[in-house]
Amino acid sequence: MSKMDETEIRRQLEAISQIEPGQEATERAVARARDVVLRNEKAHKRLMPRIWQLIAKGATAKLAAAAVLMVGLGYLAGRLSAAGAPDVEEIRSVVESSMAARLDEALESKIEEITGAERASSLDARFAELREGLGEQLRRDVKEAAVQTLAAAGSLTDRRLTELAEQFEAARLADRQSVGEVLREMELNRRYDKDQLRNGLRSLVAYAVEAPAGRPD
Amino acid sequence: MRSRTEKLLELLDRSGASLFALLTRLTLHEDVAEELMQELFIKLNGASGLDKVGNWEAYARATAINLAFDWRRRNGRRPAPERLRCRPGSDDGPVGRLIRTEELQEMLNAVGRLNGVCREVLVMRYIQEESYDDIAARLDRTTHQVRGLCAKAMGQLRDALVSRGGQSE
Repeated sequence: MSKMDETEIRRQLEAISQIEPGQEATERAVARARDVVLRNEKAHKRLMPRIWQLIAKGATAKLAAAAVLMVGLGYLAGRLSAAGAPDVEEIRSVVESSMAARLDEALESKIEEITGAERASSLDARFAELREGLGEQLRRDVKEAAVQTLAAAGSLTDRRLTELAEQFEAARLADRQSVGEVLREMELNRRYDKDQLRNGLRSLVAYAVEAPAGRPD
Repeated sequence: MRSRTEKLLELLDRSGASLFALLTRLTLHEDVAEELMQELFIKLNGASGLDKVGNWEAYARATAINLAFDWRRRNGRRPAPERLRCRPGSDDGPVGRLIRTEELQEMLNAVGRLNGVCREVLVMRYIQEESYDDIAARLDRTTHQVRGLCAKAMGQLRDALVSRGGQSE
């Protein structure tokens, strides 16, 4: 294949181009493709009414339809029950009373707002005073606690120092006793040696005195 | 304005047989071509923006070529059946047919390795045996450009076959 020239390639491509599917297979393939297309179309057509059915079956859709119906009926009833020409005087009196009521409400709310502001300022002052008092109390408590802590720490230190001094004294006494014991033992040994030496010297002197007379050279 | 279904049915009537033949030539299997034919029309039916396509036939052919070479990439080594029909005079015995089928498989695999336009032009020119003018009209190019593309595709195909042969040796 490595030495394939263009003629050989063309020959093989031509061989591929000569391949023909069977008539039966072609018809079957086209029919299947047609089925696919038509099935998709049917599925699409079936899907659209189903969507509407789903909407109609849904509780939300029913509620929406009922709401639309009620609004329409209300509008119709309002239109039918509407009076003829409006009475201008009546409208004026209604508007005046309505305006007066609204003004009253507005004034009341304004007064409420002002008194509310005063209350708020007095509350602010009280709050500041309270905050000051609490701060003072807190400072006092902290100071007292610090003094108590220092006193407690001082007494504890004294007690510890006393205990330490007592321990030092006990250790010193023990050392003195042991040193005394040792010295006493040394004294006893010295006396024993001294006695031994004296006895030895006495024996020697006695032997020296007796020897010249009784023993020949 | 006609619906997509009507247009697809018309396309099927007009070019169904040639699309199936193209798929058969590129896959060398009638059963696979049948499956791919179905897949092609499912794709065309569900394709978004198909209504903006001017030439449905060219679009369908390009999609069919892509489908066939995708299948070749997935199942390249599947042996071709014995009962593929060729034009009269091309039968040269069972052994010769086997060798020839193997050669065709190699050739189609090499064609599948070409890039998009070159592959399409080569298929249209040498496998579908369309004229340069028809190809130019379908691809919205000049005849001169199509001739250039064919020469380039042939060169690429030769290189692909040589490199493949070098690898196998």
